[in-house]
Amino acid sequence: MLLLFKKFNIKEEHQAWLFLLPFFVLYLTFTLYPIIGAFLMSLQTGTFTRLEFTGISNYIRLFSDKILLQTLINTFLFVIVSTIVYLFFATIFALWAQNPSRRSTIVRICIYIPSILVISVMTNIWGLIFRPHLGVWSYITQGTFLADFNWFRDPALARWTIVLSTLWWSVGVNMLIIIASLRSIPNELYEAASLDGANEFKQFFSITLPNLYPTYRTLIILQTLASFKLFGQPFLLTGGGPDNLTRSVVLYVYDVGFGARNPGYAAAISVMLMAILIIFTTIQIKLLKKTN
Amino acid sequence: MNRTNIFKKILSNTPLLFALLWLIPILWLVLVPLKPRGFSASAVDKLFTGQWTLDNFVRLLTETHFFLWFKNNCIVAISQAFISTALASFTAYIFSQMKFRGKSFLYGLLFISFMIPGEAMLIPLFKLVSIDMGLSNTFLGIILPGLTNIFSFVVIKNFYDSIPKDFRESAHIDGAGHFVVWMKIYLPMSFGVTMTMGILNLIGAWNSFTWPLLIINSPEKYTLPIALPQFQGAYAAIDLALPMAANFLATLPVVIFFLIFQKQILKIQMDGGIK
Repeated sequence: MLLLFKKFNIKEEHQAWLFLLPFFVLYLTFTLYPIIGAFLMSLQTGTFTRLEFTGISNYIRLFSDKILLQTLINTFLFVIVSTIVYLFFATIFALWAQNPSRRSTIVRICIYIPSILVISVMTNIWGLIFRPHLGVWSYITQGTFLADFNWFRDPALARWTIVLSTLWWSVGVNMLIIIASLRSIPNELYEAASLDGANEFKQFFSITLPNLYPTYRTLIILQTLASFKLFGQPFLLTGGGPDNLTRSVVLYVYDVGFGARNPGYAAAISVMLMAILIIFTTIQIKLLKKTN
Repeated sequence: MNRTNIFKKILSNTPLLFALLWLIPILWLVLVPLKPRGFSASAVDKLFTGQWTLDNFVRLLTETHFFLWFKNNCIVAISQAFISTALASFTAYIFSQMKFRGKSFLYGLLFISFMIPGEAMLIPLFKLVSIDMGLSNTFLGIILPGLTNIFSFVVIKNFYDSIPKDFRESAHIDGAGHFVVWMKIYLPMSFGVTMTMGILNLIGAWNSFTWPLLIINSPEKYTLPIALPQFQGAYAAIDLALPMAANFLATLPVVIFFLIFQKQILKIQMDGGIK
């Protein structure tokens, strides 16, 4: 008893709990309670103001919803493609901009700056550049078949419009994290390798890349989570079209909940999305720990 | 200069050239607002030549609600950034310096929010804030869910962990309580980190789009991120200059803040990813 008392000063403990109150009241109310709320709402039907319990009918509906299946495919594709493409480019930019030199600093700032733009500004700029027939793209490529590209309505292109604009918008943050990791690789490794006659190409694959693996592990998880959240880009750029090819799960949740005014079903989709995210991150953490 | 030298020079300048090309889309954001009324998407060739004017900014501030929306955005972003950063700092102090049971449990509880992003919670959160709490169409409704910032909490806590305990202990001997120690010692010592975190939170809150889109439904309460698309829709066909001027003014504050604090912001982003 005396030991326990020594370890935890009761007065200090009570004070700590009191101090934690504002943060945890907010956190429990606005972060944890909605998780329970999603479960409760998913068992109900009606409008936001008048919900009634109906059991698991919303969940049964999930299995026959063709649009939901399409949005899941879209989102998974976006997660996979965006993670590969963004990490690839982030690595190249990081290699370019890793030195503390003035020139590298300019490169770093230029690549990072788009990520501080408001999403609606970003989409407006790209909407302008890719506007069919009138936009900058059509102007630069006029006279060639490239000028006829419809970046927002063409089923083969629309998804790439989302991927490309988001790449431009968000690659800077990944670049910075890779730079930090590059800088932590000891210089002696490179010196030893060049003494052994390894050229820069060889050094990259035998020293740089293996030393980046732990960072990639973190970045893959972070990028996966970020890509699953996809909402604003299709909402503002393509409206989810053509033929729902760019509709993401979160956009579909929005459409069902606020457009079709069916919050119960939207909550069921949210619960499914949560389950996917938890399974995904758990598997990733497990897999990545194994390869360590 | 021989040919290989020129080639080498081009190669060594590729990153810089590419980085400048990367910013080309920003040119539209900067140049189009200076073009006369009625500037259209097809007038790309007149972007660098032809007339220049500040007329769009005058129109924006006199003929539209832009100033109101700018003011709304200031209120929401500043209060959210200030409260969330202060709260993160104080909570970081408690976790870093105070002893209490259940600490590791509570710490684990905080990381649930990393696995489940807010976007997956939009529907129940909307019902809670908008219907149950009756905060639909209010600034409070926008701000409240964004006040617990786990990233800031972790970064500041890591910093507090690295401060030697002697400072705190000698202050305690002088009779200072924990709240005073946080205010008078830990907050000033972590000023750089906390300030940078505050700026990052300010940029994040300034740019917040999805949540205000759900909560706000009357134009006089719009924040900038949700007001801008209205501009773009209303003017897109006939005039690009006015919506682009709105985009420009909406972006200007964050770019200024970013350029002032770029060194610290980039450093925090770098360190944050590793931990």
